Amino acid sequence: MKRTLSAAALFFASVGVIYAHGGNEHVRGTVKELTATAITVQTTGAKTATITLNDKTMFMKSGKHVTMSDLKLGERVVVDVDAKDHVAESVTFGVAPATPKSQGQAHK
Amino acid sequence: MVNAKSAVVVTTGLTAAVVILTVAIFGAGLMRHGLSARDEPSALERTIARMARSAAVPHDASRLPNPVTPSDAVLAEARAHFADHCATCHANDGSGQTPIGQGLYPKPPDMRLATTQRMSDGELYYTIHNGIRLTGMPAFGEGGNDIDSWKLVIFIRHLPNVSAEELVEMKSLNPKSQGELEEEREEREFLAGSDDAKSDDHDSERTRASTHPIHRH
Repeated sequence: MKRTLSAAALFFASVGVIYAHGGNEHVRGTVKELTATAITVQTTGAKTATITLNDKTMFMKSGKHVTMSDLKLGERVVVDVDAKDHVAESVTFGVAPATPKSQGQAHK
Repeated sequence: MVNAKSAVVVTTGLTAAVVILTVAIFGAGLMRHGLSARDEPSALERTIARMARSAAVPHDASRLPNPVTPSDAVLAEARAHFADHCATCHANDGSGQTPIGQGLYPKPPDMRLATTQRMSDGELYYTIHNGIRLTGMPAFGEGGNDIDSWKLVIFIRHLPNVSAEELVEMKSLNPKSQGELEEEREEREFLAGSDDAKSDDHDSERTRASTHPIHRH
């Protein structure tokens, strides 16, 4: 029992800043390495996470669609990782724009 | 005369036998499989449902033109509205591929496809405004001419061409739990340069539940 608890505690401690959201997981930290196929992020807890990129991964800077070349090492990012195939769906960086609101009064 | 009567009796008997046999087969199927919403509707059910949906929209209503003129502002408003009210079942891209959508019976259609896109503006409006009986589609909007539903019709027309940027924006507008809203706020602050966001010592229930193979060192 003690061993099981220790193993569980070790697993939880290794998880890092990764949250589930809308069926996806979010990793936030600074970019440590960046290649065409992977991004390595150093999380705020000084751990690193390497996430696969593919040609569908979107790079969003301050709400605008940009390219991977706009992302620099050391930049703060939030990576949205598909929970099924574990590939980054989007890499968000820059100051987020204000979120637009729905105007659908009659549907509330 | 007798022959004609016999023919009627035989025809009636055969028809009754076919009906009883059909009901028996359907009943046996129900007893064996139950009425799970996970099943896909049969071809017969799909046909009947389409006919019923078509019949459910009054002829005059189906011919109504959209009173809203399309513009970028209208599209943005309708997009936000769709993300907030419709995407839980229909998905942001209109595919219907969401956990709730796929759990419904019948499943929501892929609205990017011709089956939906062929419907008139009036039919789409009527469906949004009045819902569809015996499905998961509720009636939205209040009485009278509901401009918000007409704007949604414009966005539904746009679904086959919705862009990746639009989908990202819509994701931020989908209904969220308190925990998810808090997480979003932390992410915005983090990206803006704040170091106050929770560190990775934070160990939420959602984090514990994750079993992703992201490589960590």
